[in-house]
Amino acid sequence: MPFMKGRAPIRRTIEYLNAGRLVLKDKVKIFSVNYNTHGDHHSGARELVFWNLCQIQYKNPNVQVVALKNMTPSPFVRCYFEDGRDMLIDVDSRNREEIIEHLCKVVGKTKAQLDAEAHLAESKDNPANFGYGCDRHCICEIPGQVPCPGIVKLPDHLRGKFIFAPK
Amino acid sequence: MLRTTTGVLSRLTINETKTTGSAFALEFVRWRRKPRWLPVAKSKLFRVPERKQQNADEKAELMRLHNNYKLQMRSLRQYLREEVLRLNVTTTADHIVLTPEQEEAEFQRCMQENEAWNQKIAVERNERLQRELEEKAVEIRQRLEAARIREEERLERADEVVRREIELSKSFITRDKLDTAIEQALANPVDYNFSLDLKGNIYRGRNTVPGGKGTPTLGGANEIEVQQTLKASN
Repeated sequence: MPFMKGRAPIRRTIEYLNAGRLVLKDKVKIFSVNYNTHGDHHSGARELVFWNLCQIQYKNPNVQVVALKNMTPSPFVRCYFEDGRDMLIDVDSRNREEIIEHLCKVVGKTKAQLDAEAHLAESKDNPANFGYGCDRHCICEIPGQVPCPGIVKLPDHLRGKFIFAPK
Repeated sequence: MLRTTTGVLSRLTINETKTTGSAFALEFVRWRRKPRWLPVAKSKLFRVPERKQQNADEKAELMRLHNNYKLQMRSLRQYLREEVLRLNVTTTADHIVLTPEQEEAEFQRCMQENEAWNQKIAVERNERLQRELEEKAVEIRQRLEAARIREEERLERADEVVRREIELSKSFITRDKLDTAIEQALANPVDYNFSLDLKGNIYRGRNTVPGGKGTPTLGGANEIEVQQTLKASN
């Protein structure tokens, strides 16, 4: 797909895709939306599919995201879980924001969970980090940094013994 | 010639000096390997190197060692690969792991929340459907009414037509009335001829002359022109 072609090409920008709020739980394997192309009470689901489905798929690359249209009298979202159960979410006469809000609450990861995971992922990935579970044990392993005082004595002007000594 | 490439030789010598680092160990390289790009020497062109015979025992032993080494390395690599996979599956480094009970409780909580949401929507939908049903009923009633009125008007018009036709049929010429009608027609001949003057006045009848019967009043019209027009038309 060429970048600036078609309806609302902003949907294909990385900023827009990253701005999606719905990160599904690990247990969710299939995310399906049923909606009709006509009808006022389907407009929320329709807009969800148009504006947010790309974000959902981008944020959840391991989830199958399907949109089924013109097969139902009343729009709904259905999430299938790992263990074979599923959750049916009615989205009749709801607008896009309400639907997303509710989905985040019901099948999405919570804010705390996301933050914690981001933190963990960052500490794992970032080569600048040091300490337990990182590439290096201590910053003193980097050439040019101050060596650990347990191994090499610090310069006197950094030692409390000299800083706080009575003149 | 190879021997005359003094530059290369001298450089080599210097390198040699550097690496050994001692003037006593200075050694002049007079002969060295032939460069890669030179062909096989003429004297060695048809020399076939003799293949060394390997001791059978030694060969078997080497093969055994080689096989052992390969097997061990393969199993080690396989073990490490499996370990990495296992770690990737069980590691909690990049995501939070809940106990099954916690997960189940969380799932139930979400289910209940969703249930409440669905209930609310179901109520609203039923209201909407009810409303739409009523609107539909009203519309259908209106349309039925409109159709009834339209039908009545149509019948009215048809009646009107029939009445008019009946009215007209009184003056129809039937076989009985035919003679009377002919007599009447002969008695009252109708003349559809007419003539026009330049001002657009109409003179009904074939033999009408200006100023006569059926002549429109001409306020100071040109008499000669009228005459000419009449002549032309006749």
